[in-house]
Amino acid sequence: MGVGGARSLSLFLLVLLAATLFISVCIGPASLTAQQIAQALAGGGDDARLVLIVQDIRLPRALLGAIVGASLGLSGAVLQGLLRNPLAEPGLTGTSASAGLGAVVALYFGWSAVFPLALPLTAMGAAAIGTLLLLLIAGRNAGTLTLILTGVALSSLAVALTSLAMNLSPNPYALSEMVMWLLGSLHDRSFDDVTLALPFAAAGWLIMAGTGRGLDALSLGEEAAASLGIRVGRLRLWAVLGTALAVGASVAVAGSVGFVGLVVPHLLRPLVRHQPSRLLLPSALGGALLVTLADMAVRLIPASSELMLGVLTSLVGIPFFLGLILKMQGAEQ
Amino acid sequence: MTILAGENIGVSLKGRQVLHSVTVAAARGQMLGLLGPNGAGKTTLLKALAGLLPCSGQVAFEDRSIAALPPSERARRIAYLPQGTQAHWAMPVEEVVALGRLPHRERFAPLDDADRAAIDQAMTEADVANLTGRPLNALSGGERARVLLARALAVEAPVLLADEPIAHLDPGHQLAVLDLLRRRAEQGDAVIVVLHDLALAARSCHRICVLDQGHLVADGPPTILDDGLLDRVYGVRALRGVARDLPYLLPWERTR
Repeated sequence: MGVGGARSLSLFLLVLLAATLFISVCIGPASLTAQQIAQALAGGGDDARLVLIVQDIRLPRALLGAIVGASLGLSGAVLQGLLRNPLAEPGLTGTSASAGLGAVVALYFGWSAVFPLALPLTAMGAAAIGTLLLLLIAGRNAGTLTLILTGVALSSLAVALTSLAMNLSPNPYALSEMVMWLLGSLHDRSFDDVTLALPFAAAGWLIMAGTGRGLDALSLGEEAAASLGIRVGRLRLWAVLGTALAVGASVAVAGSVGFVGLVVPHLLRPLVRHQPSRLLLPSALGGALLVTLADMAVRLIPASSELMLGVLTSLVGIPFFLGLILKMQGAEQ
Repeated sequence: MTILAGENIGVSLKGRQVLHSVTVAAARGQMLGLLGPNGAGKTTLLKALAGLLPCSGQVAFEDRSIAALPPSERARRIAYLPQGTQAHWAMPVEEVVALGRLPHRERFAPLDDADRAAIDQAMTEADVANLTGRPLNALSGGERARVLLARALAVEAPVLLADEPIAHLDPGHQLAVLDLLRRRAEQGDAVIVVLHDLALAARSCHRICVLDQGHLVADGPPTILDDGLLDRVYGVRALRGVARDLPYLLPWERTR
């Protein structure tokens, strides 16, 4: 087990993710065979329309799902390690809602029309501010209750301000754009969105990958970690920056998709012997897998209009969250 | 031979002066017991000596200021065992002990043979080898305390600072841990240990320092724990006796 176990788990998740991504590209209103898809992905095939469908419509959507999922899964694992609490995740800590607010603000004031990067930048900036506020208010050694209450308060504030922007929104078109950030969706995305999100998300992933050692040490508490040579203050800043970049970039293209960061690290933790550093890569891959699956589900579930991705993950995630709280209560008594 | 020396250490926390110009030194081959009533500043002094707290004055490891040491170098020289036995994740025991090797390892590097040997040795010394594979949060308080001690031993630092390492242990394990720390000292390390049990401190330590309200009020062999000191600092009187040619004391009643 140990390192080898974590490695083979990651490999397994990677293979599963690749297969799921391919199946995800196969799903859509135009029924295409797997062979046609493979050809179109390679850029070949005799039908230009087919290449267009696969490469410009389905592939970006699948890739975005993986990017968003990896960002959320990894951020959840990092935030849980940092706060030493299995309930921490970008949606509950207010990070996602803050990023959504940032995106809506950029839309509302029309910054994104003037300067295309304004939307992801404000989303990431707001995500960083939200997470820093959480750390300031809930403190370093936040108990579960304080953490959840602070996260709820920050989320509510961000959602209220988002609603205010919607309330005052000048036209119905802008309104429907803003609603997207509350519900979360990967509908109608193009490669522009991929190129917008990927650099920032990847920068966040790299930063978060560097926090593993510190997160391991933190499982002994802040003082013991410091005595092991970890600069705890710096670690905290890197973690906030990394999650803000990844979550901000995700929210900027897909809106808020909740509970991925909660569910994925929790399910994988026993498989990596509860070691925070070894949880990072599997959580990123597992998050990508989960969002890809969820995005397949919203396309396959028959409904009058396509379900929103964030709605589905929340519907599945909230019972899981409640179950986790009950389990923790049982452990504390 | 002095290895870790704190000179005129002063600490104020939230505007309150917690330590007043305390000078204390840890020597190789010596187990130093840090005593004092609740709130006397023992933990604060230990943290300052570990370089975990900004303080006035000087803390030097072999004539080098520890403030000037890079954190990982400082971590290899001074092991610190904090108070309490909180367990945050269900990490298996041997993984917890392995965290003590972090200062010796490059980023992303796996455990090498020296690391494994240190982990095994520490687990044997702290009597937790039989807990291998058990998750930390499923252990009893005493078992957890010994696992965390093993984590600190695994650092293999020449200086070990332990804050109340026997607080949650039964008498058998209290004696075992104190004997283990004393053995470490006699093998050439410097050990500073915060204790509340006067009888065990007098029995186990080579030297005693007593803090009272942030001042160092006594520093010397265990015999400094005389009636006058116990009365002034703790407000207690002790029963005393000699058994097997060794003096012992037992705090028995309050004097005020």
